[in-house]
Amino acid sequence: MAAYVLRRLMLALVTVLAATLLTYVLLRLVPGEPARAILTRIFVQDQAATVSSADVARIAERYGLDAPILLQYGRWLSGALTGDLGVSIRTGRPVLTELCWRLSATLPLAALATLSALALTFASVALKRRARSGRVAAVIDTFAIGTIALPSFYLGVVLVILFALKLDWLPVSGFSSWAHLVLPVTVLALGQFGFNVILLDDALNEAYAAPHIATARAKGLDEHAVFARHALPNALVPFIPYLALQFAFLIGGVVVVERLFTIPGLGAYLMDALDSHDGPAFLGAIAVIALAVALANLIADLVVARLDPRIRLGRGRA
Amino acid sequence: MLRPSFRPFAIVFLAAMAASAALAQERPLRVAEIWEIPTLDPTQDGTLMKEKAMVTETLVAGKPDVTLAPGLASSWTRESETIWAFKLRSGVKFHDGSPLTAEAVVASLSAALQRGGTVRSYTKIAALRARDAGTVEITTSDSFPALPAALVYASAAIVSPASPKLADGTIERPIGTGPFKVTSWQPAAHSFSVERFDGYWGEKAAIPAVTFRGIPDPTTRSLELQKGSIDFTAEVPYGDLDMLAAKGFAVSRNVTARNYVLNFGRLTDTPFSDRRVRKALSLAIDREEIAQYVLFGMGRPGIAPFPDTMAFADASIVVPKSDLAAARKLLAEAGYAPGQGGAMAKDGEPLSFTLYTYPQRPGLVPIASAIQSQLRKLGVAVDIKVTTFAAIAKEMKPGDARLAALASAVYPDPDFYLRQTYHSKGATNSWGYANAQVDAALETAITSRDEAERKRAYDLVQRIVAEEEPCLTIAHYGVNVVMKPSITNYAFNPIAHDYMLDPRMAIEP
Repeated sequence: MAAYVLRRLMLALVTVLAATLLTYVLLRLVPGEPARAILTRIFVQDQAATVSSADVARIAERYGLDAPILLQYGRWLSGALTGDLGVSIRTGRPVLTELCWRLSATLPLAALATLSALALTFASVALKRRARSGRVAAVIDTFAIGTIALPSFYLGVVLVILFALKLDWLPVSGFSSWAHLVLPVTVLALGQFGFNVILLDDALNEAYAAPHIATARAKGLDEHAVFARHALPNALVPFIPYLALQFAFLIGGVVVVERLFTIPGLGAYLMDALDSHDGPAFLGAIAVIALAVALANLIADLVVARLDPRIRLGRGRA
Repeated sequence: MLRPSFRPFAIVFLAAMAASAALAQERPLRVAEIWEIPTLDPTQDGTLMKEKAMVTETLVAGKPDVTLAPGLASSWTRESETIWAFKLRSGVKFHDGSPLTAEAVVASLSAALQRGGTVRSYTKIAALRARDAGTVEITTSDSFPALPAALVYASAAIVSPASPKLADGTIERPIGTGPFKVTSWQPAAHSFSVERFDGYWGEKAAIPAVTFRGIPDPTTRSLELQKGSIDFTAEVPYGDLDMLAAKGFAVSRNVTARNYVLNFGRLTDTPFSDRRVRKALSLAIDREEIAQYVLFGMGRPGIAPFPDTMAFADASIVVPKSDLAAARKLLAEAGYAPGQGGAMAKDGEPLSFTLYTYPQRPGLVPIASAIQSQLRKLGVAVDIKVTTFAAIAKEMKPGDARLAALASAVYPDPDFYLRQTYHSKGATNSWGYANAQVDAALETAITSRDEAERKRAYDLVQRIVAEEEPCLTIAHYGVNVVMKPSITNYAFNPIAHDYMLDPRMAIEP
């Protein structure tokens, strides 16, 4: 078990390195010299500004942008391996400090959104199965599809108008209290909820259709026991990896919601770093996101392995 | 009757109410800044510290009509072609109480030149020296009469050498000379506060403090205004302006020193090399319609390089009314005739091009679409491509065009924009416009020490380019400012890069 976890952690590290290298090369291949981008986006703050080639050259020299891409990456990597992620060109602050700031906003947001979505998903699926009425199921399905169809920025604005302006219960934007988290968490949770319900419902249907459920019922187990011991664990096998990926997405991919609610999260940080060619900030953000994806997958795999004896740690792997 | 457990809470609440009533007149102005606030370094975000937060000042100040006024320098003299002496205003103190000295100015400007950015190329400063405690000597790399104007550039603001810095030299918290001083700064939350500086050399600010929060989303700024959690902001969605005005907010639509410009790829060996073709396209574009219906009044139709709010604009230039018939006639003179489906063509070659633009300025893509539909009526097919500004330079072919929002007065002098755009060796004149008369007038103006002669020369350049149209100025950029009606004494300053606050602003109770 320990060896498996260790192997997977090593693999996670390789994933992170590959992700940072690949994206860094891509960043540097974006049209327009990086030094010009840094100059116009960070120092002049007008991408259409006229800048002299001498200005551009000075920036290139100062940030070592003339070196071959792989050498630039190598410099970053050798620092990163000792825990030094460099200094952001945009702010002059250590990237590690800024990533910690951003994660202190992003992690609670992602965790609360995932948990709320999960609670809502289980409640809806339970209601759907308990009710056994076509109408309840139709309402839940419509709601689920509706949340999928609704773009998050639109839903966000509607919720703000309703709860912050009309009812005056909650703040519009910012990140200085728990009340500020309510609306963005709701938007993100509803964004996950629809797919969650469909996936879990399907997985449960499939699990219930398996012959061993009939066996369990035939041997006299009550429905609770059938659900808890036989149906649910099997249904969770496809559901949990999906959940892990969704959580990882929330770490770096929710820039629209972060912008609307002015939350200083990791997604907005990545976009700004990309926009201004802030290499160190960009690499740091990519490393954190890649790490989140790798760890979320690892945890999901470990949970699934506990649930499903067939894939338990290599044994029985055909 | 309150239950006992609520009593302490109620007492605290009532006390807070009483305190807030007493403070009502002294409460800070809450501003939603339109960008994120990653740094307060004036060499990086000069306009934030100078124009918005009023923390820093420059040696020379710019007046609303885009003329110059004494700033931290009370006077200046040009002693030779390249040597200037700036006499410092006496009695000026930095926010830490230390006096403004020539040494401090030299240290501040030297650091700004070192930090990168464009201070060096905009000001052409080659050397700096403190001649005595109150005089700074500046040597420029070549003859540059616009130096005082270039020193208005916000990134050339003067900060105390004692300003706290980060390891890489970034100024963490500028200690300036302005009417407000930075009192708190939360970089993680993109917000900071300034307080009135009682040791200010000029008229003291009327408001005690201002808080700034970076809210980059225009919709969010509009919602925060409606909620009442901010007092002042700029650049809300154009479509929200009428609604906000109806709700009682003070809404102003202002013109700033930025132009929406259509640049042709090349003026040689393309259809655009024919002046009549450019003129026809210009006449077919309905600038009035664009300003009114595409920009919701956020911008002013324009054909000249500068809006008439600027002192150095030639106010005699009028924007011609859109005239399709005249445009068709010009195209016919240029040898174009309607071919298949009415598409204008010459020698079997249809007149069509790709119009490149970028999404960061809200007006660009809608204007491009309007131009596309207006030129379709002329029989000219326009294909729109939206990408990044940097990518346009790589992708655009000589027969294509670009729509951009270009700063027309980075600092208050006409030379910068006219030279880069219309001089045959201009930095942005990649389309190859060359007019000996324009070049000569620009040289006359830059070397002359006679203001009237300079004005005549710049007027001539503006009239020539408005006639020849090597690039099409479509409109002058508009900025909206929205605030609570309780804010008084605010006047929009057109030299602002986004918006400018005013130390005389007050909040009525």
